[in-house]
Amino acid sequence: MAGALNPKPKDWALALPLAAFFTLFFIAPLGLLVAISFETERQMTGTLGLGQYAAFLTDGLNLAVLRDTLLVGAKATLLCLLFGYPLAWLCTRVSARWQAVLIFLVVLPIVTSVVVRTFAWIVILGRHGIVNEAILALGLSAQPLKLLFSETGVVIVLAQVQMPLMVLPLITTLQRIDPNLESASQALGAGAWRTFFKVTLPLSLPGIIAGTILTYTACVTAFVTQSLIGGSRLLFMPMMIFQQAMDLQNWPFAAAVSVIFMVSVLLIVAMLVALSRSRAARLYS
Amino acid sequence: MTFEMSRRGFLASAAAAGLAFAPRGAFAADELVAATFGGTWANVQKQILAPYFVKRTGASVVQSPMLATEQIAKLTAAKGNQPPFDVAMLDEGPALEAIDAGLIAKYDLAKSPNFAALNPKFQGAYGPAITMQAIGIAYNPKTVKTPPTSWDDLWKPEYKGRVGITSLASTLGLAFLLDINRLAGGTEANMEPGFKKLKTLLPNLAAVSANFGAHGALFQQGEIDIGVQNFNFAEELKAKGVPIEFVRVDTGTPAWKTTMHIVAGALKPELAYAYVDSQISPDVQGEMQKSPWNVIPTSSKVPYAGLVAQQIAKTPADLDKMVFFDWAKVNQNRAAWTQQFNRDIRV
Amino acid sequence: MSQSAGHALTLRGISHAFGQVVAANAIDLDIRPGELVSLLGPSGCGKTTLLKIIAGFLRQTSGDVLVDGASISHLPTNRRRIGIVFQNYALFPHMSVAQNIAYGPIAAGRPKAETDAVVSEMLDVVQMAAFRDRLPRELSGGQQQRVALARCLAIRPRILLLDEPFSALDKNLRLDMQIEIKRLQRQSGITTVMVTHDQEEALGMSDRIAVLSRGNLEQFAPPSDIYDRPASLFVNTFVGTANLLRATVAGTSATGAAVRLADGMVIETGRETPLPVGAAVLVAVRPEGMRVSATGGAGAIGAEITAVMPIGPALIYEVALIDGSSVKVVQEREADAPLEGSVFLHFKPNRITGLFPDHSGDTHKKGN
Repeated sequence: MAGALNPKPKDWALALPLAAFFTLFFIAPLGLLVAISFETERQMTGTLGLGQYAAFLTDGLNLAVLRDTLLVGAKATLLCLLFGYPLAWLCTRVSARWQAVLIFLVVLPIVTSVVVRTFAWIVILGRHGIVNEAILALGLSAQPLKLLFSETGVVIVLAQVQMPLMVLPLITTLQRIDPNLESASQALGAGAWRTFFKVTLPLSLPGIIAGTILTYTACVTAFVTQSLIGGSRLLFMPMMIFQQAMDLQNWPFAAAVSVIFMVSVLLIVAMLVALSRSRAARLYS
Repeated sequence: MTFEMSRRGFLASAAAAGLAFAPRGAFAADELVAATFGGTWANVQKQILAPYFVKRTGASVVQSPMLATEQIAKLTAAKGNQPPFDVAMLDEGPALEAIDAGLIAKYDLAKSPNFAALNPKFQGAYGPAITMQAIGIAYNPKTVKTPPTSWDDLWKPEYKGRVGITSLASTLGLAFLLDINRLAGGTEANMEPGFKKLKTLLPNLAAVSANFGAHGALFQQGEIDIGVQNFNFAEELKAKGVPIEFVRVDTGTPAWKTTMHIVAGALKPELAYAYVDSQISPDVQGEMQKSPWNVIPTSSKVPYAGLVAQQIAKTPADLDKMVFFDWAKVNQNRAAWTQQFNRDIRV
Repeated sequence: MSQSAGHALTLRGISHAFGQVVAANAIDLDIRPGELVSLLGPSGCGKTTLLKIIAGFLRQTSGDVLVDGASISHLPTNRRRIGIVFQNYALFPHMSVAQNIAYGPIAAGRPKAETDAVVSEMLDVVQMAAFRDRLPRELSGGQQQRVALARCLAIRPRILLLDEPFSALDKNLRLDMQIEIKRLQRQSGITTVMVTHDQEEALGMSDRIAVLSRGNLEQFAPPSDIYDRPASLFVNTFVGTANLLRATVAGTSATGAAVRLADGMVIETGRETPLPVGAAVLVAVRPEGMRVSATGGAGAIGAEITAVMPIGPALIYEVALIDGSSVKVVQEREADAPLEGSVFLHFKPNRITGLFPDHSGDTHKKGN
């Protein structure tokens, strides 16, 4: 049999079901989406052009929404990193039992429905929510703070909801760092901070970048959290796409907005990947 | 993960198209799939309409809660294939769109004995109106001591940061905007006065809900003390023990019809007709008019009673005094208004 | 090399326990300036624990660590100026060779010019100047070790700790590096403590060896003493190969005890024992401390050859004694063919390494 002599075609064949699945449910719809975005008429008459793209790019509101979406993702990702890094670090320092407890707490948001999580946050952040009741009781403010329907609220909730995506890659990376490296640094006279900034942090950069990519893409596309916590006065790209596709049945425009959004996010991801490639190439063979 | 945004994007096309490919009802020969709205409507139709229909036909029914726009998206995606459901339930504006797009079939009177008993203005050529939805102001009597009487009360300085409305995605928000526009001297062809007026409401707004469901929760959590609300929904919340009171505004109550339709190319047209006809039967409408549902009946055989009679109408003539809008014109401009609304309310 | 003269390191009553497990039990060690001392023992004996305590990675449960008589127990690792070369070298993978070596001087706040000078000097010392801009992963194991050593010496440590320094190297390279490090240590006169489980390494490189077992210090002595006069049965069996012959004490005198072997033969051991006459003892004797021959003589006992292994210059005989126990004998290979069958086993004078009480039921297996 030819296959026995040259096993390569057979190996390749093993990937066929996945490739077929990928093509049917990912490539094809994506192609369809891009195709629809070139329809110039809402009724999709078959007239093709760049009209939808022009319409998006010439309206300052749309560009502002795009900018805000990319920014809110960046803020949430930064917050995620700020809280997630110490948490991940802690996870690698505690006993196995505590590590299991911490990881369970970190992963908890993933196993809860996004809608449930988000409504829980509405209760927490609301005018009469736990946070505001505490602030009023402590006399930190005379008025309840506006956390719900504010960008601050969106950033806080996004950071919490997407925390596992940041923490899990960080834990993996931090666990892979040879503990002797930190010991060596100390023995060479470096204090805890120098050891952290010169050894631990640079070596965990691949995890930071992986976590950042995952968290960022999840944050900018988090339709439910953005719209429920943000309300309609804070408009982000996913809601805008939903509005166009579902409320207004303007699929070509929705498709064009989707493509623009996707390309914007992919550009940012590509930059992060390029960064990680250059670093990882130096760090690991 | 990376492509979640694209998933959102072709939600309307690919995902809905996927539904169209899936063979439906292959196993359940006598199962009807009917669309309903979320919240109150899903509950009332499940508790009253479904058992009635099952008893009448011996068939079963799956009621699938969907926004009107969602129904249209799915039907559009499935066009030319099997529709994902046989009965659509729509508000006036979306209904006109669906008719224009050829998504729903003309209504055959011969298959619906209860149709003739409907008040004539509820007898649509593409399906009956099953109720009227009326809107007004809902408020929390614990925090709002003087009951409001007009939309202008929402503008009172004392309600700074306490008022809630919905976006134009909900007919509630749209009708509110249309009505303040009308009172400010505008028409469906000229919304400038309405938008101008809306802008002055901004300081008072605590929240602009992205959808109707989120809006209801805001009253419950005390996020808003006063705001636009739908009569049925306010009364249902009140029946649940939420501190909420509903008042009609003194400038006329904006209202619209909610209609039911047989989907074009329905798989089970007989069952679909039986289902719609059940919804307009005096028995079902009589039951639905009771608290906590307070669904305004459209059958002339069901006299107004209870809260409907108290709050909305004592005679059919009272309904005529409500404020109606030209939904055909609304549909033409909705996209532009949505963009304008996004722009104006943006923080 | 401008190393400061060696410093004395003292462990005084060091004890450490991990939960119920005692890793170090009242260890006292006085290490002289410039000495190279090995901590030798099987895994779990506590040698790594001691190293961590000296480095400051672990805080001992009790006891004190002193350098030149001054306690350093209260100092954190980074203020002890104790260099350590890890088993896996622990070079910073994201830094070049030069950056690795400069790490310590920079952390100590040395001026750039001084740091550069130290880096160059250290690179020369370990003969790695040509590799200064390489990343650690571009180096061989031996080269990595040289860099690790250079990085360590760059802080001019008072004490140098080597954690299983040669275990990751292949056998040929290992000897070269052992000689190299020994040479560097001699040159610099730096007091060095090396952890190892490899007795040859310890015997070959150390001025003195501390043999540890289950947290206890069994013996602390020069290599020849450890080998020839082990203080305990454990040391005897762990270091080198030991034959243990069952016997009873036949008599004691000023020159040492006489023992009666299994076949009734009485031999002079030249070793003392506190055991009374008639007590069961194990007579420890190394394979090279005996000789087999075809002819008998005074003090020779009968034996049967069960196996012969020629290993280059020598022959290893395995012979069975009358009580069924077997012993190994190493002797020079003669021109004649190896012996076979019934032979006589001779004890070389003064080559019995020890007499140890024979507790029936105890295991007398070799320790490693």
